[in-house]
Amino acid sequence: MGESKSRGEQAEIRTTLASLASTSGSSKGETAVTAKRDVFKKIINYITIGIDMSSMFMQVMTCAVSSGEDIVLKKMLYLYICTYAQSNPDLTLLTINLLTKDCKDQDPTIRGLALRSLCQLRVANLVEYIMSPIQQGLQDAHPYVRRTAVMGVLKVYHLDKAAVLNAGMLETLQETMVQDKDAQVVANCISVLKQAGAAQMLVSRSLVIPLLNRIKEFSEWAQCQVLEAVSAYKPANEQEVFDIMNVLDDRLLHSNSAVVMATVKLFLHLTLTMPPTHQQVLERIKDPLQTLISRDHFETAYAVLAHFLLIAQRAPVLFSQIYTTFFCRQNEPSYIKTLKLEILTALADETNAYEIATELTEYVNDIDEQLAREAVKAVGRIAIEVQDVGGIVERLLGFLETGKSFVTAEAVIQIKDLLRRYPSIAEACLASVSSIAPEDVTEPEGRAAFIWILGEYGHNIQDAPYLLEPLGSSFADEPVPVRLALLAAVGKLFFKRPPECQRLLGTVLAAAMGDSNQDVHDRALLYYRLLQQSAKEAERVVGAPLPAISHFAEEQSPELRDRIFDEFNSLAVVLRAPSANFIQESHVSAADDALEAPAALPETPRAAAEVDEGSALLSSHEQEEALIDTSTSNGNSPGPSLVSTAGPAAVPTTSASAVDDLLGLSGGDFAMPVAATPAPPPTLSLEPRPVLTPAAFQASWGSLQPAARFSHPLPPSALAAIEANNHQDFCRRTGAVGIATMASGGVAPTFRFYMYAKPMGGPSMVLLEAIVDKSAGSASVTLKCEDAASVQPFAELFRRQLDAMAGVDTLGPALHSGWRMTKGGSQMGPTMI
Amino acid sequence: MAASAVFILDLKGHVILFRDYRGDVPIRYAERFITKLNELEEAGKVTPIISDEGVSYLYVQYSNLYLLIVSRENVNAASMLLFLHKLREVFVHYFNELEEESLRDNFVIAYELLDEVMDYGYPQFTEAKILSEFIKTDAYKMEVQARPPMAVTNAVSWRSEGIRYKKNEVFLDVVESVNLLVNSNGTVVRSEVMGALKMRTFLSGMPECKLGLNDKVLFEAQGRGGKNKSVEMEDIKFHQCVRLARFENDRTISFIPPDGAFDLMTYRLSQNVRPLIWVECTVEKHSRSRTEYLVKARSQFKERSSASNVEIFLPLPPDAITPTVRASQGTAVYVPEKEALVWKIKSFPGGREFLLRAKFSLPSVAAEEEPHGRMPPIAVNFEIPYFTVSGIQVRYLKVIEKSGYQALPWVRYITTGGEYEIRMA
Repeated sequence: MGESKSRGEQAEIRTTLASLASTSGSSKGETAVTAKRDVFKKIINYITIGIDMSSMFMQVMTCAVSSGEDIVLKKMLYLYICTYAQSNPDLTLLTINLLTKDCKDQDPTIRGLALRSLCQLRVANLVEYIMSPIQQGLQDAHPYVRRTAVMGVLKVYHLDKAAVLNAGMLETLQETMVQDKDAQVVANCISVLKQAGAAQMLVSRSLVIPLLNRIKEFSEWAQCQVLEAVSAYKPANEQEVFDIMNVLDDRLLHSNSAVVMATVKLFLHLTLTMPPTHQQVLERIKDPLQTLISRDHFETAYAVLAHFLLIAQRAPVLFSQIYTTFFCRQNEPSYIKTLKLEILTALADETNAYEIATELTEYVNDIDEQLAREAVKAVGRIAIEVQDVGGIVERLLGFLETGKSFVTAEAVIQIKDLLRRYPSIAEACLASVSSIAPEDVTEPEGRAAFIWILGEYGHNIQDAPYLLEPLGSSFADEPVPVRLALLAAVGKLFFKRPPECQRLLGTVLAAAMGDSNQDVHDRALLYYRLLQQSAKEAERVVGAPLPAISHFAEEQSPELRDRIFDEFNSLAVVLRAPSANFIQESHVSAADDALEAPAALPETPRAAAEVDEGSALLSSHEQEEALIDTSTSNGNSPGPSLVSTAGPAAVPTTSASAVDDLLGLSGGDFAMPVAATPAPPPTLSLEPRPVLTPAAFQASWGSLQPAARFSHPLPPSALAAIEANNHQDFCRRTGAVGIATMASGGVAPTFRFYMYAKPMGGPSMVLLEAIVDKSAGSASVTLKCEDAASVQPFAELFRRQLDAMAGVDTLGPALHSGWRMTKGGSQMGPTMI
Repeated sequence: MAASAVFILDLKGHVILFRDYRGDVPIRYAERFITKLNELEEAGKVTPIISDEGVSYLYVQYSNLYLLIVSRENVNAASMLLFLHKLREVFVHYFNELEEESLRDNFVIAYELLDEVMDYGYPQFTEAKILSEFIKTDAYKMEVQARPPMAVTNAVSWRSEGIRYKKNEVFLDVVESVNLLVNSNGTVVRSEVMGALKMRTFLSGMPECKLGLNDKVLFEAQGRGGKNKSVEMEDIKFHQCVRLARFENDRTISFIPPDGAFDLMTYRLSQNVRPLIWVECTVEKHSRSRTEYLVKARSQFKERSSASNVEIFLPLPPDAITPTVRASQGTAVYVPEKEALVWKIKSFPGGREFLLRAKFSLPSVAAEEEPHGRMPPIAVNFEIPYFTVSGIQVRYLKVIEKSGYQALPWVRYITTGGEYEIRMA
């Protein structure tokens, strides 16, 4: 739509509006109303396609007011007002009268609609006009108005917390929640209180029990809200847990999968501390979840499957018998199939691995390339995890001969991993591997894996040097990972079969030393110099046998899984990350309360993930890369008189120490990146869950002298965030980076925190006292530590934690005061409530 | 844990409807969503949930539309996706069809609906029946004082008062759908039956219904089914109208039904059931370019039953040329766009076997470009009326209403082929 055309249309609309507004006084008939509706429809249509219609605010108003009794027109007017209120607060003021009048209309529908629109204006300085209609709405005779009013409280809360708190509205809602006869009103109260950070109001026994008893009155969505709220409740004893589960057992039969999932979450969390019952719950939910997967829409089935994967990883044995549920169907979208393969991999054990691998073999032949690749990987992972079942490795070897190059490539990669884990099976594999020609494996990663196998097991593969030979001459054309792998492989093989490899090594070294890639170049140079110094030493370094890997880094650490499990039945499970990693703080603060995201961390999502999981956590992708790196970096280089072939590179004699230095870099598992980059600035990593008893803390605190003292200024937002939720948010945040809280408390305006942390690999604990003074707007921090090296970096880390709190916006005053001891200090990180 | 906004987009990402609930995700995010989606599509990594820069996108595709929820919070994933499906049902109920055209024609009503199904991002009511109480499709009817949502006021949220029919009738269909997966070597990898009691009620007032099923089913629902020859029902689910407490006590299924169509009860059987229709396909390659299928289809249920509208989809290579077919029963047609030969048999009595022979050739060049990807499985559609795998039977269906009218109950049984797949060798 051209700009000019839309302008012309706008002018036309304006004229129509004006004429309609003037005539309507006389003709109240249907024709006028119909005409008005048509114009309004046009306007809203324009809004939807993104054209600004705010310039005709006045005309729209006048036109609508004169036909005020038409409800359809009214709804369109409300929509219009709400769309432009934020950008035209002055004009919006004019509509307040109309809306507040409508809030007193005799028709409850209009009362409700007007109130909803009024609350949706999102203009902070109009809040004063909204308060009393909401108050009245909360007392309205009709539930439709009441539930709108309840939601209205939350809308205003996000605009102006103080107004809501001062008016005592949260308390009103709490009363309403107990007393109101209408279930939806109650449900909305729950949602609002929860988001307004008053969740603790919800979890008292006297509230939970009546709610559960009337759960059937709630709509299906409201039931989800109730169940979610109750999942934060800690029952007094085990009997109560059973009572609750008995009352809710039939919710597992509900046809709405959201209700089923909410119930599952509640049951799982209620029984966390009762392992036998927890097992029973897992048995109980098996059937309902299975049905959800089979019957539901693909999208919801996907979400349910993601939860299944999480549960399966926690308790694979329970589900190992129902593995056929996760076999793929032809018409399923690939996101379902991929997830099912992961579940099958997680479930594989001695009893079912063979059957699962057989089914996976079917997928390897599938037309869908993605699925075929995933299937090969899955078989590989099963072969690694389930060791004693025959036939699986054979299947993997069979994939080498399917004739599809990507299947061959994936299979070679899996076999390489398998050999790293179980070198003893080499004999069984090598015949098949050596029968493939290098040109059959075109993908770099697969090719590198193939070359690695040739280098590592070349003494058992008759043709190994000759298989590598053509690659030597095409060295420069290969991608970097292949070049590195080739260099390492040829180096290794040289020590095993020198006569056959000497020429090849010469070619490869020459090509590699002239390589433009830093890593290739450097490694070639290293080999070359080593050989120059002493062939024996070179063999020791380059040809060193690799230790078998006993454990591959998992994609998710158990701790991470536990944290995700705490957020069961949410996006966190589907996205496989704690909500802090994908929810942005600034917006959480704008739209929500910190209580909603208790595990939220102050850093940017990526940084948070890194701090949390430390370097031990590798994604599957990284994991594979790391494996390649090890294979290449542990490689090595040749011996005697190669100098003549050694090409043009400048080869100054290097001192032994320089060589040692290089070795130090390349000897580790992550040699490549380290060699290429300068050392990163020193950072402090902390152990995720330090342990210290209160007594030990006290003793150390008493005996140590302060190692550092500093005062750190804090903006009001940070102060509020620290104070909020009885400090728990702050403690949880610091806990997430490894700073545990021993005790916290105090009375406004001063709060004290005693915390401790243990630097990774460091000799001793860092102890800390922080006194946050609200009136002074700062935190005074005292650090005590035996190890002076840790003090400065730790101080920096803690400063960052304090600063990060500024990004978190939370609700007012702490509810308790006085001292509170956290249990043994081990409570950090994810606790359930 | 609420949604920020609901979008309805066409496949290019143009906004057709946009309802902002929280004001923290502006309309331009529709573009971001489409860009991200296209990226993922290219990488072959599309999922119904996408997270990007702190915003989560949850969507379902329906015909040529995306229904999309955006949120900045850690929302309940399953619930939001399900909500979108319910929203789709609501739109279909109102506009008969949900597509760009029908939305544009009715977008004021669509906005009204969006206003009621969610408040501030929290789902409220998604039952079309209830919504139609206060959002009338015909705008002129609005002149009559619109009633506020009645259902909210009483405990029976799924049914409104004051419904009247001249003829009071209730239809009950017992439908069982068989999912089957058979491996290329002929072993049954997986078989399950999804059962449902589907009701359509046209009853006046607030009728009280009672449904009696045969004992077998009820005992099994209690988990004490006899060991021998009984079929084990798993995971029986009832519509929210069923008084579950009553069911637990005296095993009667009693309920006040919603008006119109709904699923009263669903269940699943997962133990191996004998495949009702068995298809075997032998592939003979006479030369590089000439291939012949020999297909046997056998019905493995009692002779007194008969399957109707049987369709067997036999996949052919995409480049198959001039297939010729002979079938001992029914007709077989080559459908190039499905890359399959469709063998239709109108009536297939129990305990019978029919044969089909198909010959086709492949372009000789293509034939040499081995290997082909695996052929998709043979799929089978069928219906067997008056038959259920589970043996479930309706003993009685009583309708009691205080006005005392007589309602006519109609009951049917049918078993159909669902995901019925047989892999080719």
